[in-house]
Amino acid sequence: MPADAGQRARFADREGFLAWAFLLPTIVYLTALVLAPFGLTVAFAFSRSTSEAPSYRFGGLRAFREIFGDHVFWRSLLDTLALTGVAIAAVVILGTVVANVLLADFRFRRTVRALVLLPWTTPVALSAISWRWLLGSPGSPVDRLLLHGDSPLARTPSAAVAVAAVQVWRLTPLAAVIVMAGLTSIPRGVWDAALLDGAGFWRRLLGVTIPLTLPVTAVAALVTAAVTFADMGVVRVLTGGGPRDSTQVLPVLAYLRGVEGGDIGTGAATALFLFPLFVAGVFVVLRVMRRGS
Amino acid sequence: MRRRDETGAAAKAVEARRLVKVYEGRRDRQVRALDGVDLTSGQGEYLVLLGPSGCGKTTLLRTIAGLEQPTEGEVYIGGRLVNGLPPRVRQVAMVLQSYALYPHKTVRNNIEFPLKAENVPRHLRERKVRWAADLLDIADLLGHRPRQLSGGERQRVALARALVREPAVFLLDEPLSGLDAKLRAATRDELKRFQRQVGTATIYVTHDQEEAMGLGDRVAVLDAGRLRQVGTPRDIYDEPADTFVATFVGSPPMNLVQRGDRLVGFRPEHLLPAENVAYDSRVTMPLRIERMEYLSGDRHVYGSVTRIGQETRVIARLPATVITPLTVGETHEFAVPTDRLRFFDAEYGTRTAPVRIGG
Amino acid sequence: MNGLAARTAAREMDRQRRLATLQHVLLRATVYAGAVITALICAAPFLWGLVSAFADGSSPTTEHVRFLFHSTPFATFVLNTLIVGGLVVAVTLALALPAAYALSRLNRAWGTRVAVAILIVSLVPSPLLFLSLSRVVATLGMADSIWSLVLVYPTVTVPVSVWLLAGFLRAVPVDIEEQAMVDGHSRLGAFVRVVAPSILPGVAAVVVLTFTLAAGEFTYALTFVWSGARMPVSTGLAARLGDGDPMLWRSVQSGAVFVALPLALACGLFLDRFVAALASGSQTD
Ligand SMILES: Nc1ncnc2c1ncn2[C@@H]1O[C@H](COP(=O)(O)OP(=O)(O)OP(=O)(O)O)[C@@H](O)[C@H]1O
Ligand SMILES: [Mg+2]
Repeated sequence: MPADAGQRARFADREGFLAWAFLLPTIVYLTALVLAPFGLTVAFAFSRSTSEAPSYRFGGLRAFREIFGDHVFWRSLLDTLALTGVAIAAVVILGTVVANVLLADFRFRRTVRALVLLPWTTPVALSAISWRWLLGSPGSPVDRLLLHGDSPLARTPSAAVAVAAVQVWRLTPLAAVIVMAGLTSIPRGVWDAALLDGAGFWRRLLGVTIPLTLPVTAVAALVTAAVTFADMGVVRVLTGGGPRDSTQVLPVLAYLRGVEGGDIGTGAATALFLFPLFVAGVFVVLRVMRRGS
Repeated sequence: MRRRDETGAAAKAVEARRLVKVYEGRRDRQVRALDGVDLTSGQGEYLVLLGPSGCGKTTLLRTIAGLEQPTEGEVYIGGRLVNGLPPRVRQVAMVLQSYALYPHKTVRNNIEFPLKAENVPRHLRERKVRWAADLLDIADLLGHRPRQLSGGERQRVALARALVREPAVFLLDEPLSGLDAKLRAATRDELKRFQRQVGTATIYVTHDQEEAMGLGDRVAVLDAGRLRQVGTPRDIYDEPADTFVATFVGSPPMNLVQRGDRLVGFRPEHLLPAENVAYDSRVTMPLRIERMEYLSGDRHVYGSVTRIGQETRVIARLPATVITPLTVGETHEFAVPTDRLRFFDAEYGTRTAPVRIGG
Repeated sequence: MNGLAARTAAREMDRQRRLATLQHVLLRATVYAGAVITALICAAPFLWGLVSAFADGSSPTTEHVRFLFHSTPFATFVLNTLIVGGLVVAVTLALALPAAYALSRLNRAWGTRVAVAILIVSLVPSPLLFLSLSRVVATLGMADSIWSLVLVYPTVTVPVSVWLLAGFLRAVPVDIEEQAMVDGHSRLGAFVRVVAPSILPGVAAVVVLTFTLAAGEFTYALTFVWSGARMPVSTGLAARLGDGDPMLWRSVQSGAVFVALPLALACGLFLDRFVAALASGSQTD
């Protein structure tokens, strides 16, 4: 009996070791290519490195002083926040609607499902190209609708609206898939019970459906936020930040300053302003997970 | 037309007419879960639906409740045609087989939910929840969430959620299957007493025949989407309508011996050593004893009989009062009182008129 | 009196029935309208792209498509994307499969902690990394080559894949693995013979997703690769052909559709699996 117990313990030990051996490559890889570069970015933000002289030279708060004096930076910061906020709200609502439609039973369901995935699976730059063509080219349906006026991408409020709309268009399918998962994991009987208990539409919605799908909706919102505020494809291809920097966002600005402008310090400092958003996202994840368990 | 139906059905709590339910399965395969069911349950009656797994019991309840629309046929509740009406309007309380508690609500809020939907005032709600919790012995659990409960506790919460209402009919889908034997017997008694007291018609699904025979005012036996027989427990047991009912109800089941184009049936407890059966009206047969079991005082005798028909393996159940010495391997003369014999068509299994068997 | 009550009740029933029927009809109509509108909006830019690529004025033409393949590096872009995508899929599976297996079978406290850490890593926005990663890539001598993308893309795909695969693996009961071990297989043998076959469809789903993510990535591709013939399709079409005359634009539209459709179809095939994996992931945590 004791021998048996000893053997079992050793086996369990080995299993634990095996698990860590399996995890190690992933952990090493992610540390080397995510955590370490992140540290490097923070270091760059306090440097005067440029692409001509890439070696590290400490520059104190120089980069921050520079971007704080730049009105385009403030503009981009606001745009990024506004864009993320609008995208979350619209994507969550539309995603929930689309999820319910896709779960319903109707003819041509497979075709519709494949079409609905298009915005999300297409490389972002390509769909942005297509939107630019649809919105901006002479003779397109939108152009005809606007009676051959200026392209909506060349005017101020409409360009920002277009950017937000394309982000929402692109991320709604993803949110829909996530919400679908949440809806299908609710046991069917619960809907039946609510019907039997005599609950009307609103009571079912507020008392059963929304509370049960809240965690998964939070996940959908989070994914939307994470993708939206980090994305530079839509803005770069659709408007290039224009007209007159009115649709500029932080990631694109960081690219313009750090890569095209060659000032790595300013670019890194600009990008670093995405960090609070990232932390907020992590906070939400942890909250949702704690709720769930 | 409809007017006449409604007045004619006034004393009936629930009536199903020629109900057919076809499920569309994958790749155009169809499942006929209900195949023309006619069933009536009276006002205040305790009707038990009994049948093997997959025979359509749940489907029938769901169709009555309005969770499924029948493919054909009509459902009447309180004498009114309710086809096309949502469950809310039908005034039914149902315990689903899967319990279906709201995972995000406490036990108290789960039980309260249907009352809130009916806009019952708060003090009344609280009283009812207390009452149901005491009845089902879950008063300590009111603050818990479903995932913290055991299977049996969940089932009792689901039952409580149904009992606090005042519906036209209770539909209970195997509400006690998760309880241990003792709790089950106790809850069964409570349930029956409660139902007597409020006098609400109840349709109760089970595949446990003891539960069915013990609880039901009447028992409906369902098989493969068809009703085989509806009657009092006594009818079902003593006058089975066909061989399915005869063998499904009773444990051990009724013995069936083929004789020409008939099946002769008799219950194990009626097959006794010949000297224990009155001489003037009996049918005798030699039984070669293969095995014997002693179960709580009874003797179960396994063996095969000849003479009254083809040689067939049968079971006899001898009460403790029968003291005839029997030995394994020997052949002994057994007999059944003539009025205990039941006859069935050998091909279709339906009940037929008695035939004379000499000896 | 009683008759009057009965008649009122009957009328009420009829009203309710009409209401229920109306609700049902409205619901069906909403579902169909929703489906049609959603599909149309989702496909809108591509539809217009197709129309303008294949129609010149009113007559159909394949001129733009021929131009795309013969006179632009479109085919090279696609090839680059295929190479990068294939290699990224291989690297991702090699890293994520063992990790997911370990997470799904590791003791709960640690497993959850590591899983959350990996999830958080997947949220780190790429703009926070591309400047330093481009230094890393330059140091490794991979600047302006597709190898830089093969190196970096798994930072995006591995966390997601670990999560999905762990979801699929959790859906496989530990019992059947233990049964196989009782039946005389080693742990590895049990994994290969019993667990692997039952998650194979899930692995296929992850392959498709990983490829889609790799094909669609924009930030790193833009930063690390700048020579025309080395770009993947995601940046290549935009950078090289994005501006210029309408003739070129029409060709680009057809290119976008050629890339978009296969990806959407492949992902559509696995939609139910993604949903199932996400559902099982959200249930066990
Ligand atoms: N939604 C459905 N789709 C397709 N077939 C179904 C569906 N629901 C039930 N069935 C089929 O209908 C038949 C009757 O099912 P039902 O659930 O009514 O059985 P049951 O008598 O309640 O069984 P049990 O005692 O196991 O609960 C079964 O063959 C089942 O496979
Ligand atoms: Mg059932």
